[in-house]
Amino acid sequence: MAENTLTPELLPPQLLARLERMELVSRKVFRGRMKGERRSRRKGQSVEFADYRSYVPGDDLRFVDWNLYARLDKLFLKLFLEEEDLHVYFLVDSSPSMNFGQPTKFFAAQRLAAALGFVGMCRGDRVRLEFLGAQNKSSPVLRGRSQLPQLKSFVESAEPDEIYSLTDAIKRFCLRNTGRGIVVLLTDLMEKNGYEPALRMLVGQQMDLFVVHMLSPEEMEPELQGDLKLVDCEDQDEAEVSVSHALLKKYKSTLAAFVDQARRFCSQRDVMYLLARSDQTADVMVGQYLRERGLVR
Amino acid sequence: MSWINMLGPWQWLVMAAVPPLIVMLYFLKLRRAPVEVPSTYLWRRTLEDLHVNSIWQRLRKNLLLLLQLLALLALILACLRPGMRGEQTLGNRSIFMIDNSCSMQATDVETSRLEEAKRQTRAMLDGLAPGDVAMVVAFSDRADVRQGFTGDKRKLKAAVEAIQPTNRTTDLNEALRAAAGLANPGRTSQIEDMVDIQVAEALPASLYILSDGGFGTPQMDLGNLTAEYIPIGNSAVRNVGILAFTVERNTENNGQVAAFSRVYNFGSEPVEFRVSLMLNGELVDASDVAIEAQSATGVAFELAAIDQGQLRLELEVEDDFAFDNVAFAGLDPPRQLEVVLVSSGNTALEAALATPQAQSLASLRTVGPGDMESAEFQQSAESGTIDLFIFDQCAPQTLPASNTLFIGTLPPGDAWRADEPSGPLFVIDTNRAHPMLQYVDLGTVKIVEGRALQMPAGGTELVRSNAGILMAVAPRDAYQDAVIAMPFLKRTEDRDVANTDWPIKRSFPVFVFNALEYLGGAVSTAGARSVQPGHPVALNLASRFSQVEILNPQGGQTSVDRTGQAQLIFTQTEEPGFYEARGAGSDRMLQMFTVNLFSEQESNLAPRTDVMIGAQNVIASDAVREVVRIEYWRWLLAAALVVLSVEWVVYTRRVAI
Repeated sequence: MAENTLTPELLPPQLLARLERMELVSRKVFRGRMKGERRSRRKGQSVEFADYRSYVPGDDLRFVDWNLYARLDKLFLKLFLEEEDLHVYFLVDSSPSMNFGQPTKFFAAQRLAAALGFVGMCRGDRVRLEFLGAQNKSSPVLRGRSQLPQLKSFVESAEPDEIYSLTDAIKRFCLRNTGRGIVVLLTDLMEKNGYEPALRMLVGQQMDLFVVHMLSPEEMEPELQGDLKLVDCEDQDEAEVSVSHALLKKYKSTLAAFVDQARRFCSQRDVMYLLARSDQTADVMVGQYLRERGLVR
Repeated sequence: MSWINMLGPWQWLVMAAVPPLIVMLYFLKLRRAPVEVPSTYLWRRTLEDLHVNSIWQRLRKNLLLLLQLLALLALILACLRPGMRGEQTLGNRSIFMIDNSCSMQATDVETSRLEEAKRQTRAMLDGLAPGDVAMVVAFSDRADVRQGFTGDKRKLKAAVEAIQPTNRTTDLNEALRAAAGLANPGRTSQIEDMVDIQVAEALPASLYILSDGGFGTPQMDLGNLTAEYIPIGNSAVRNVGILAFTVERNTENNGQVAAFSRVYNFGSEPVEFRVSLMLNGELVDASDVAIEAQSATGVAFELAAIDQGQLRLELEVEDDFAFDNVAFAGLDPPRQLEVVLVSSGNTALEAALATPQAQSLASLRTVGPGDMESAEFQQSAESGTIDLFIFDQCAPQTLPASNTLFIGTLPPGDAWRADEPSGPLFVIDTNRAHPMLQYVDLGTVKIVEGRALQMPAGGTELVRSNAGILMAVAPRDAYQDAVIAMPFLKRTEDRDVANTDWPIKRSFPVFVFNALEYLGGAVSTAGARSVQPGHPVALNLASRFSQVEILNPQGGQTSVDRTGQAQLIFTQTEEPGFYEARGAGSDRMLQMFTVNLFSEQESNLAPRTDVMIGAQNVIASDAVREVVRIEYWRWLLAAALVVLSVEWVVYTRRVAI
């Protein structure tokens, strides 16, 4: 088992400086609870024009477009998009399988969640981190960059959990969070019963879902050799293999099929699928990789 | 292949349990290092594709397991101790004498007797132990050492394989001498001679004679040789063979030719078949013949007069030895005679010798009586190259080494005597049966004067006059002298007067022609000579050819230079059939001879059960080889070790799954 180390700083200052200028992008427009910096579908008081509609008695006369009345001799009411905040959830898979790789997939997921959370917090979004496990460990709603220390301390305090069902954990999350928003799920999708029910549940919540598929280099290019007894760290399942060149070749094709299947599953359900390697730095991951794929801008 | 059970029932049960045990151990034996992985999810999916979960499919590509089971199979088979019945040749020095005479071409065994002998020899060579040496000798009527003593089986087998059948008869003497000489190399006779060093120690050797035994009783002291006779062939053989075939002119009637043959049935069943006679390739006569078992019969054919020709006798019978079913005989063409006429002038005689018929028979040279003293004449007379001397009213001092015809005079010596001349004479009897007087009518011949002859013992009276014998012929060593006791011309002082009117009669040139034929030996009464295959033949050919070409039955041609001898010896007579001798550059056949087997020894195919060599009776026996068991378990054990080595290599290279 690879050592779960957080010795590298989670969010170095240089990274924070870059993250401050970014913004989380949602492909959907959600209705927020508090006024924020994000355009809302709800028409309200703001400076950004949205539409016109005919005046009906009882409307606030302050929003009548008098210039239009002067020209058309009809009363039209100006509608403005109301700027609201956004709910952003970061769900980090805390299963033991995430605690592999150098650095571990769990650490890479923590760092990515913290970085993206900081981006959201800087934009006034309501950010919540949740570590999926036997008992989902959820952070309070964080908003504003001033709550960065809380974010860091919560993230750093998290550790891989014991074996659990991803579907159950997502189900618990969905029951607790009925609101809309962006959900970024950071997981390795190594669910023996299948990750599909869990994703379907999130899709059913009408959330804008991003799946970041974390894989370690050891998984993508295993350096195994000889007659081995592979022990599953989660359920202690054993698989006896005699690793040969042919088997490694077959494993890689199986992995490619697995990734391809996940990507196809997500694309068919309007879920953004992102494949990430755990050995990528946060700078590269957020600044280049996720920006190119449209999660941030 | 036979098996010997080396294990008991319980041991076999344990042995039978080993293969399943290996299969079980195959699943248990691997000490797989445990490695913790995030999930076996992908690995399981990978292994599922490789059908790891199926035992049989897992076994399918497992080379290691297959190799182990193969090694075990080899070990189990080794425990069964497989082996074959084999034979081992006894004796560490062996001489294989293979008969390749004509009778070994018999097909009473598969392919031929020679091939069977070669097969048995090869089998015996296989049985030679390491360190043993052997030699190979092929023999017919002569011995041919094909391979000297060697332990190289490959060379020995190649020598055996190279032996080809011959048409010759069998004579073991020479082969035994060769073998004895090689087996007893140190034989020396000079005990006191200190320089005479024995080159090698005489060592005992085993002599294997692979033959049908048709070689008589060779007189030979075998010395250190231990002879073993291995008979080749079946005792129940079918063979009818021609033992003799000759053609002769009928001495009573020159217009007839008789062909005689002797045919023997060597089989154990009576046979009936047809005998065909062909002249120059065309069938001229046939006869049906029935012969009892182990009996002979003669078959004779009468043919019309022929000058020359090739006769082929063929037995239309199917037997095991086709070689002796055909025989050849030939009639030689009339020879071109060398005739010398010694005369001081005889127009009538010269005219008779100058007829086209006479000239086609003989080349005439005329000399005067005075030339008889010359050295050239003496040499011709003594050399025997002249076929006929005709002395007309003259006689040499000594008789030449040729046939002679004296006219009006007697041969020198006391053999011939004559009365005083008397006359006139008239012919009262003529020996018309004699070849010289065939078609000659002397009844009306007038003779002025003649003498009554007294011929030597053995002479033949030809013509008798009222005074006595007028013409006779008598033998002289290998020659014949004929005497006509009357001159044709009577010489007077001023002219020659005719003594008889015979030269103007029609019968005179006929007589001269007959005399040339008979006394010159132009026509032989016997047919062409016949020799056995491989035997030399001596040819008496006209001396004017310095080089002779001999055409063999295959159409091949051999040029032979004469070396001054009257006779020419030709030895290349392997093939049966007709051989023709021609002068170089000439199309005219000078002489013919035939090659025929005519050997009762060869045609009698029944293999002899025992043979005599000197005083030693060699009984046919196959005890020369002992029966041994050829074991294969060592090879199986070696194979198991090889397979295990391969298994180890494969294992270390981890070429699994």
